[in-house]
Amino acid sequence: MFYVPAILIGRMVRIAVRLVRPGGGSALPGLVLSKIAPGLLVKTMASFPDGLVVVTGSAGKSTTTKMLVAIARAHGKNVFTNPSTANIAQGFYSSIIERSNIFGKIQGDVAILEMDEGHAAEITKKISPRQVTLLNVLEDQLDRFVDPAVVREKLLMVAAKAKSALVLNADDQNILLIDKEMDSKPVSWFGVKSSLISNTEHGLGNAPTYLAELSRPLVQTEVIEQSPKKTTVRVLDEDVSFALPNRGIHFALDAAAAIESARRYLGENFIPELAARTLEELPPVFARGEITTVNGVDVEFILVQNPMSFQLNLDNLPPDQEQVMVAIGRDVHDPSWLWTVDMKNMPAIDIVTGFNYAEMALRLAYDEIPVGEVVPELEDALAKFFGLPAPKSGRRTVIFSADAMRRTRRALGFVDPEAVER
Amino acid sequence: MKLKIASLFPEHLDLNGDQGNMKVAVKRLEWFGHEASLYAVSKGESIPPDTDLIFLGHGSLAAWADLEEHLHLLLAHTKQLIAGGTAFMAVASGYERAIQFGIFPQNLKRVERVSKFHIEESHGLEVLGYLNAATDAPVIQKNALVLGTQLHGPFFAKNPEYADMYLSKILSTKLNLASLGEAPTESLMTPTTGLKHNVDRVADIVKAVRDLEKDLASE
Repeated sequence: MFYVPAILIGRMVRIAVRLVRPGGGSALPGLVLSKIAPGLLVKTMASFPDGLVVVTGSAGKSTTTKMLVAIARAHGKNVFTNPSTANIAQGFYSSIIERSNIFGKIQGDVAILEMDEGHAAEITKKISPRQVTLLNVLEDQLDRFVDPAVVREKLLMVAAKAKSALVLNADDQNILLIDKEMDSKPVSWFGVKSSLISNTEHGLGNAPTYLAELSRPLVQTEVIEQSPKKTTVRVLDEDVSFALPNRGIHFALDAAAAIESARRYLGENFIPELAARTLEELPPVFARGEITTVNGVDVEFILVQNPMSFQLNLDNLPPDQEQVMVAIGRDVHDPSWLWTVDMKNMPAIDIVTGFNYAEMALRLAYDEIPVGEVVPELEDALAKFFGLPAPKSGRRTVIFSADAMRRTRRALGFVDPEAVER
Repeated sequence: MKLKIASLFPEHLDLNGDQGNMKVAVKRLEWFGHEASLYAVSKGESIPPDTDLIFLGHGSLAAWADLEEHLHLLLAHTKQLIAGGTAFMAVASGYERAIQFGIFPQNLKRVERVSKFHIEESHGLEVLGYLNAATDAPVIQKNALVLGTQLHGPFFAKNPEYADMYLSKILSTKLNLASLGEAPTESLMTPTTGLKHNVDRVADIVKAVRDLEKDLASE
């Protein structure tokens, strides 16, 4: 009963925000609830019979969580999860407003949550997860973290709180360092066969440790084959295959992370074949390999959130690009990192736009990459781009950052990103 | 004219796209009709004595730890080359290391970290960029041809006038046409016909970048 007034206030704030900003999301309801009922998050998360499963790391959280949730549901679990845009503390409170009853209770067997790598350590101080999956450490968001070593320390704190299972990336030396720091944890590993990594130009993009390489542990779930049409993963001794919508090796690694995480959570009930079938049938996370139709023409949306995802997506971009728009939004706080990306695969661009349009255009200008037009306002740019004569190849490409993605979705009338279900 | 540019440990020291400064320097020199060769000096290698400009970028804690013993040797050599007239530029943590090695006159003190866009005046020009530092090193200083800044990432890209002023001083020193401290030798940095469109394209974009970053710096 204690939390009833707080949840009602949170819901009223949410209604008010939606009246003022139809179709848009806001962190305000969650922020208000976190202030007036700070203990609610712990209480709600503690109420799931199977506990809390956390997925964190620098990159791949949304995709891995979506895959893991789908596999758990396919095995009959009732799962509570968070939208990818709500992976920090306020976001969890927003999810409670959205999904709980007025007592703060959410129906479900388990909470499987994607957590921001900066916030996860703070949140898991109060709630010990049943299981933690650590994906990677990149040189990312340095305006926040300053140095990858800071991220590693934060992830170590999260890993140390895992009660019964820790699922780690065997192909990131940072994660091996984290493992080395811990005593007797119930660790299992996922990874990608080394020849698949060495075939890529820029590898997996993890932050270099510059230390003597730690030997790769025995891996329980490993990607052993990958092509645009087929990904094969060895789970213990059993091989399963499925098609993934994204071309990059990082997407296959996310799949391995999800499978191993599901295997650990579901235990004896885990069925590799069912996991593979689930991944085969899974609709892509928006802008991670998704192709949709706008104005009667196919469009591939490519989300670039950090140097690694920009690089890997560029490396995997088919060479026959005909119409391309690049939109870099306000989420890129310090655009310096655009200069760490090797742009040699970047095709000629029709339109550059987004809050950071000039920073992106400057980068392209020094690489002497042709740009048709620089359009500061995203909405104007979208109207121009989708009004271009239909491309002969039958497909357009939009490369955008997370903020530009959200605004693009809104402008094109796609689902409110706050309401994305997994 | 041809400038030889040595970047020390560029594989290690590009944390915020800091090597972009030398990419910009090479491009601008080319657009102005000069030649530039940019080469990496990696662990165990030495700086060629005919180098005109030495660059030290910005790296992670792990990168610096890995470079430590090599850095001592190369920065000692760098000091000798600077004394002989070679230009030197360092950014962010590279700049802080250069201060610790006595290439700049200050002593460093730790202060509370600042992470924001920043505007500053230097040698009559307004410069800007992203500052993410936790020491009291001056945000930018240029003593003759020795330039250091805490503004990390592509400082030259956003401040082309400053880049041109600095590069023209290196060129004029090499030509022995002008003594240090004179006004920029404009004739050394005049766009080459056929490449002027690149200079103009960048100038237009830089105006928009600077408007944006000035707004952000005042937030």
